[in-house]
Amino acid sequence: MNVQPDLDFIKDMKSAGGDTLKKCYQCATCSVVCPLSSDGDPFPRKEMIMAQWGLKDKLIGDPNVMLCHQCGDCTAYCPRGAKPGDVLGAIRAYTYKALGWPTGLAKLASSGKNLPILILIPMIIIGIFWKISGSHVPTVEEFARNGYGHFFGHWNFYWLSKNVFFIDIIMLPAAGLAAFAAFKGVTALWQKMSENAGVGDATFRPSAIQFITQFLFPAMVEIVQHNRFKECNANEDRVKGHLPLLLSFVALFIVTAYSAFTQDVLSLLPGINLHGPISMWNPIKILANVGAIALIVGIGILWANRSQKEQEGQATKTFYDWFLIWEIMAVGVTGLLAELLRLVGLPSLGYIVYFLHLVSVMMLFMYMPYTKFAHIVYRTAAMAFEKYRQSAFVKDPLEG
Amino acid sequence: METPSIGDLISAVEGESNITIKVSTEVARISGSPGNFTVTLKEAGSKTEWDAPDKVTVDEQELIDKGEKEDPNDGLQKYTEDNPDGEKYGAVVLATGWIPADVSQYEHLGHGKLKNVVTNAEFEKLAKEGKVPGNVAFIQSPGAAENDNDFPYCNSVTSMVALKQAKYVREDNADGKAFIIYQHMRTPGNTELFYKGIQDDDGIFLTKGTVSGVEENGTGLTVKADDTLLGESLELNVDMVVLAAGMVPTTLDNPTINLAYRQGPEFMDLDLFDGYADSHFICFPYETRRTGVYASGGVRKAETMEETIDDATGAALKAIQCIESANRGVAVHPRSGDQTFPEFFFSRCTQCKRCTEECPFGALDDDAKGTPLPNPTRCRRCGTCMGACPERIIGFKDYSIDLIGSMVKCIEVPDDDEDKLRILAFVCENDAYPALDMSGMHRNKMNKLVRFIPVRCLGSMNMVWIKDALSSGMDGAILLGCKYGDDYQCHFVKGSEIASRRMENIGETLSTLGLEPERVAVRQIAISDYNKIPDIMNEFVEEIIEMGPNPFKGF
Ligand code: SF4
Ligand code: SF4
Ligand code: SF4
Ligand code: SF4
Repeated sequence: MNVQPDLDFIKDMKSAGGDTLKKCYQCATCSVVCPLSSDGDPFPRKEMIMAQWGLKDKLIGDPNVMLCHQCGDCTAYCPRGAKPGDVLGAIRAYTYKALGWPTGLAKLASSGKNLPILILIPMIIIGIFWKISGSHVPTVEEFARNGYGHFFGHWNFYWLSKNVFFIDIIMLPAAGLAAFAAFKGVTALWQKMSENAGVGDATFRPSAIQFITQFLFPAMVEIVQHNRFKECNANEDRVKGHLPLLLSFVALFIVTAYSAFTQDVLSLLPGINLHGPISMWNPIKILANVGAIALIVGIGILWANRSQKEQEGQATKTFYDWFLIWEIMAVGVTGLLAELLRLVGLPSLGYIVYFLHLVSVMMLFMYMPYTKFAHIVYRTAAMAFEKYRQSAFVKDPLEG
Repeated sequence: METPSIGDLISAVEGESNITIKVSTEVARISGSPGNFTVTLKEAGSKTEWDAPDKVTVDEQELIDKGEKEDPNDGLQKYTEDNPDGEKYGAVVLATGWIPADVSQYEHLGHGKLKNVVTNAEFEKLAKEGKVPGNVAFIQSPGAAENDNDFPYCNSVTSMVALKQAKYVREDNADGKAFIIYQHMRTPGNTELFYKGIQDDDGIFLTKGTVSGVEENGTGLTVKADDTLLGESLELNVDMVVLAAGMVPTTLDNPTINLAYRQGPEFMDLDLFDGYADSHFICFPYETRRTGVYASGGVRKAETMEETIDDATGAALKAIQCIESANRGVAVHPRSGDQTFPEFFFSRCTQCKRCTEECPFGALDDDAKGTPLPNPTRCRRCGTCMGACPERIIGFKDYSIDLIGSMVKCIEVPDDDEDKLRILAFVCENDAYPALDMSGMHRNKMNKLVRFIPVRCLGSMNMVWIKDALSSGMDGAILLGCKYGDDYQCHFVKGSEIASRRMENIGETLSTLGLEPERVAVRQIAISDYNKIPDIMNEFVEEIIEMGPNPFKGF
C-alpha cells in the first residue's frame, strides 16, 4: 500500500471530535473491550492508526467504522485517553460528508458554524410558501375547526387540499433529494467497502431478492431488536433512549404514511373528506401521540446521557452528535406543543410553533444524509455488508 | 523545543579559574598510578616517543629478542619510563564520548549509495544548516529478514533523536510529513511526555515495522516496510531517509586511555561490554578496570545530556575518593579503607609473571630485571596475585596462604568411616558467603558433611589449599563464587573466571594422581540464589558419595 497521509483529513478529524486520535499508542485495549468487534476483524485499534496516518480512503470504506454503535466502552478503557469511540464518530461524520451529494450541502451540514444557515434555509422556504399561499392566520373559531389544516390557506378544490398541496411541494422535494443523496452515498459506500475487502470480482452476485432476504432484512431485524446496542456496557442507558426513539420513528412513519395516504390518495375518491384534524380517539391519532411522547422521552434520555458522559470526560462535545439530538428534540417538542396550543386555542402562537415544527421536520429530512441521522442508512448498509462479507458469495465456504 | 545549553556550559567552564582546558591536545600516555599519574600530552594527531606502547607478551618478547619479530614499540619509550616533562594528576575521568556508527553495511538501506539516505548525525548537521526537506522517513531498525534488532549501539537516545528530528521536519515545512518506522520506541521516565507531545503532531506518523528496503524513485526515495501496525506492507515516497545510526563508544576500537601499563594501553576484555568502558555498569558504575580511571558519558552507554551531567558528577566524586584513598594509603571500592597490601617475598620469586598477567587491575608492572613491580595505589586488594603465585610468596598481613591453609588443616576429617565423608567449600565473601548466610536465616537445611571457609575472592584461591584438603583426607572440594563471563558479577572482575580456569588445571593434576577430577568443582552463585544453595551442595555431596571416599584417606 503506497501511503500518502492527508493532513487535512487529520485536521478535520481533530476538529470534529477526534482531537484525541493522535494519542493512541496502539495497545489494542479498545479492540479487546469493544463488545461489537469480531475476532476475525477487530476494531477500533486499526482504525485509530489509519486515522492517525490520515488514510481517509481506507476509513471511508471500512464497515467497522459504521458497525460501531458509539457505546464508549473503548473510550472508557483506553489507557491513553485517545477516546477511540469519539474518533470513530468523527470518522463517520467525515464519511457522511465525503459521500454526501450535493457536496456543497454536505459540507454545509457538517459544521456547527453553519447552524444559522441550516435553520434559515427551511425557514425561508417555508416562509415564502406561506407568504405565497396567502399568509393565512386563523381566527379562534377557524383554528378550533381546522387546526393547522389551513396553515397554507384553503381552496375549494376538492381533491387536493391547498394545505396538503403546499406541504407536498415543500417536503417531497426535500425528502426526495435526501433519499437520492442517501442512495448515492450508500452505493458509493458499498463500492468502497467491496474494494477494500477485495470482493470486487465475486463470481456470483446475489440477486436483488437474495440481497434483501439474506442480508438487508436480517440486518434490519437486528437493528429493530437492538441486539448489538444491548451488548455495550459503558452505556446501558442509551438503549433505553434509543429503542423508544427508533420505535417512535417507526410509529410516526406509519402515521405520516397513513395521513399521506388518506389525505393525498383516499381523498381523491368521491364522497370522502378526511381533511382536517382527526379525532383524539382515532387509533391513528393515539399512535401519533404515543409516538410523539416516546420520541421526546427517548431523545430526552439520550440527551441526559450524552451530557453526563461529556461531564465525566467520557465523550467529546461535538456538533455532529448534538445537532441530531437538538433536531429530534425540536421536532418532538414543536409537534406536541402545536397540538397542545390547538387544544387550548391559541391561534397565533400555535401557528408560530407549527411553523417551527415544519422547519425542524424539513431539516430532519433535508440534512439526513449528511448528519448523524445518516447512520440509519449507512449503518444498515454496513451491517448488511458484514453479512454479505461473511456469506458464501464472498467467502469460499470450503476455505473458511 | 529548547535550544541546547551546551554553549552556556562551555563558557561557564572556560570562565572557571580552577579548570584548565586544553584543546587540540591528545594524551600520549598515562603512566604511574592513582594519586601520582604522569600524563604526557601531545598535539592532536601527532606521534611522539611518549606514545603508549602496545602490550608485548613474554613469548613475543622472546621472538623480538631473537630478532624473529619486529618490535611494535620501536622508537617508543618503554612503558616503565616516566616522562620527566609529564604533568602530574591524581585521577582521570574518561569522557571521550562516541562516534556515529557506520551503517553502510546494511545494503538494502542504501547509505553511501543512494543520495539523500543519511544518518541521524548527518541529518542533525543538515538541520543546523537549515536544509530539512518536507517529507522524511526515519528508520530506527535495519529490518530485513525478520530482524527485530535496532541498529547496534542504539537505545532510548536514538529513539528520542528521531522524535526530535521529526519535529524539525514539521517546524521547517508548512505541510511537512515525518514517518518513524521502529521496532522499539524507547522513551523511559519523563521522556514519555516528550514522546506524547511529538506523537500528537498531525504530521508525524509512527509505526512499528520491518523495513525491507529503500529504493530510488525519480528524484525521491521509496521506503518499503512490512508487518506494520496498519496491518499491511507500506510504501512511502519521501525526499529523505534518516537512519538511526548508533553511538559507538570511542573505547571500542582504540586504546583511548593510553596507559603505560604492563598489561597494555587499553582496558581489557571490553568485548564483554560491547566496547563500553565500565567494568560493571550496574554494580560499579563509573569504575573501569583501571583504578583511578573513571568513565563518564558516551563511553558508558549512549546517553542524553542529563545523563552525561549525572555521569560527570558521579565520575568526579569517584575520582576525588580515589585521590583521597591514595593519599591515606588505603584501598578504593570494593575494599574501601583496607590498609593492607599484598607483600611479596621476592627472594623466592621465579619471575613466572603469573601475578603480573592475572592481576585484574594491571597493578603489577615488571621492574628492569623482570621481577613484579607493585603499584600500591592501583591495587584493589583482591588477592588474585596471591592465588596465582605457584611459589606462594604473596600474602597480606591479614590474609595469606598460611592463614587459610591452617584453617583447612584445622578441619576434623573422620577417617575410616565409609559414611562420614568430609567436603570442603571455599566461599567468596562478596556474594556467595552472604547468600549462604541468608540461606541459614531462611532456615534452609545444610548438608552436615560440608565445612565452609570464606575467601576474599575466588581469584585469591591458591590451589595449594585444594591439595592440602585432599591430602588431609577430605573427599571433595567445591568453590562457590560469582558468575563470570558475559554479565559477570565478580566484584574483582576476573576473580571467579581465573579460579575456574585454575580448577580445570588442578583437575588434570588430580587425574595424574589417580583421583577423579570431579572431586573438585566450581559453582556460580548470585546473591539471590540463597534458596538454591542447599540443593547445589547436596547434589555435589551425592556425586562425591557415589565416587566413594578419598583413597588417600588416612595416609
Ligand atoms: S485507542 Fe486507546 S485503547 Fe485503543 S489502541 Fe489506541 S491507546 Fe490503546
Ligand atoms: S464505541 Fe463501542 S462499539 Fe464503537 S468501537 Fe468503541 S467499544 Fe466498539
Ligand atoms: S591484590 Fe589484586 S589488585 Fe592487588 S596486585 Fe594483587 S591481583 Fe592486583
Ligand atoms: S607469581 Fe609469584 S613467582 Fe610468579 S612472578 Fe609473581 S611473585 Fe613471582
